[in-house]
Amino acid sequence: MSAETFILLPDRARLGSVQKEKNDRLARTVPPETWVRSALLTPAEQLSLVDRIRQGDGLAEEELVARFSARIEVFAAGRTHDRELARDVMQEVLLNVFSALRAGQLRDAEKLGAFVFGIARNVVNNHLRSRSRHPASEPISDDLPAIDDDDDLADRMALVKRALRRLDATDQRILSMTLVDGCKPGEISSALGLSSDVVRARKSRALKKVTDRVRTWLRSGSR
Amino acid sequence: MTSQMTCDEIEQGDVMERYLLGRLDEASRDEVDEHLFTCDACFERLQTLRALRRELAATVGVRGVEVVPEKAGWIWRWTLLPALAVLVVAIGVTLGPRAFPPSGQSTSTSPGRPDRPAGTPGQPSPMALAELGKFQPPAFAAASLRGVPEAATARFRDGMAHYARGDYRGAIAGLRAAAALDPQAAHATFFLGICHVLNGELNDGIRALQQTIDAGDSPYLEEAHLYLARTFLQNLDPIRARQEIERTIGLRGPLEKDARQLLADLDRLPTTTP
Repeated sequence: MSAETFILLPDRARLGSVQKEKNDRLARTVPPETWVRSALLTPAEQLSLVDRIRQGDGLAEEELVARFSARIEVFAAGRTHDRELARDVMQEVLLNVFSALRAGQLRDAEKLGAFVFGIARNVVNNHLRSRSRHPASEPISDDLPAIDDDDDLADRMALVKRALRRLDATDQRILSMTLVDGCKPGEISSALGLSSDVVRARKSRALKKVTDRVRTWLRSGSR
Repeated sequence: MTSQMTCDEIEQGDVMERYLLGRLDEASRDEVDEHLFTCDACFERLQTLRALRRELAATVGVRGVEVVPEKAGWIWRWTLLPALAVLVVAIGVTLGPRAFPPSGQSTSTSPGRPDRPAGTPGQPSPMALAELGKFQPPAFAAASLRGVPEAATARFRDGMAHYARGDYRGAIAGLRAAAALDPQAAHATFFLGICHVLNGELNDGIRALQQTIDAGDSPYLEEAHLYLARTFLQNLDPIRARQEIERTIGLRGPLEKDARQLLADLDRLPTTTP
């Protein structure tokens, strides 16, 4: 199942260069004048998407899958800490969403994202209850098929690697101690001989550099 | 339904980081989760942080050790330098100064023309300079398509499809078009410069790399300085090459070590005798 997300959506002026069939389909299904960067879907698009799913439009279903499958899987993995279960949950949630939409259970079609989230949360909680487990606040797993099987994340890994190499060794170490070891700035400052404020500032700048560069490179299509 | 956090609330503090590390209370975590279902920008940021953590974890065994520099491929040339130096000295002794033409005859007049020709007494020999300046093409791999590319991006990708096949001459048209459509697109001017240099068009390469630098801070700024330095070496202009090397060092980035090594290699090159 494709987990591709459309991170950058073009405006109408850019539609002349549409080549890919997938994008042609998207151009037909979503009015280009309403495409915007970063927003998931405008209220009008959500209404249109829900309407078409109710009418059994397969392309609309594909679009919904593309938009939400990775989100559901990441969410489920974060709650269950079980990569196989997360994938099963994702399938189950999507089936439930389609079923609910066809049955007209979404009253406010402009809240599609929240609706999908609500179903995902219920499905996850049901699984956890059935396993007599409670949702624990543990680190979000990144050992997921979502990374290995998803083109988007595979690309992102390559870009992150490149962006990381552009940081100096101290910044790399601060990020590693923060994100991998879970150290707090005070602990890092002792280890590196820096003040906590400096560690905090360097961490923040380094994270911004990496995320900004990856976003820029994703936009340019390079890595 | 929970209430959602806003993008601003998530940006402030370390909410996303704490979310990733499982340090949010349940209510806050629910709010972030719901927000992620409605916001592409924040979900994209989370995905990048997840990828970053995985990459860092892969190098955690060498924590405290700098990640391997990206341009390790240059090292092989440095290993050839001693042998090259011996060869150049031998040729120089055997044939004398006339063995190498003045640099002005080897390239057209251009922004890359040396201020002080190499090969003059006390300067490195042209052959050694040119050899030191050679480089292998920087790595590039196309990312999968997300959305419809704008015109400049589409042309860039066309060009880079040639680049990926090693067809640097073929890449130039697409990259030139991309750079014309968006002169601030550092990725386009950078690879355009690289392709010109690899195609032997040193002065065009110098212009494009300079344009990348003139565009200001970009992911390609540091590389542009160092590749420009190497291009000046190929163009037998050690003075401007040295300036670009020093600018690379001044950026204090991951290529600083490469730049210092290049400077040391330049200093060690055998010079022609009067």
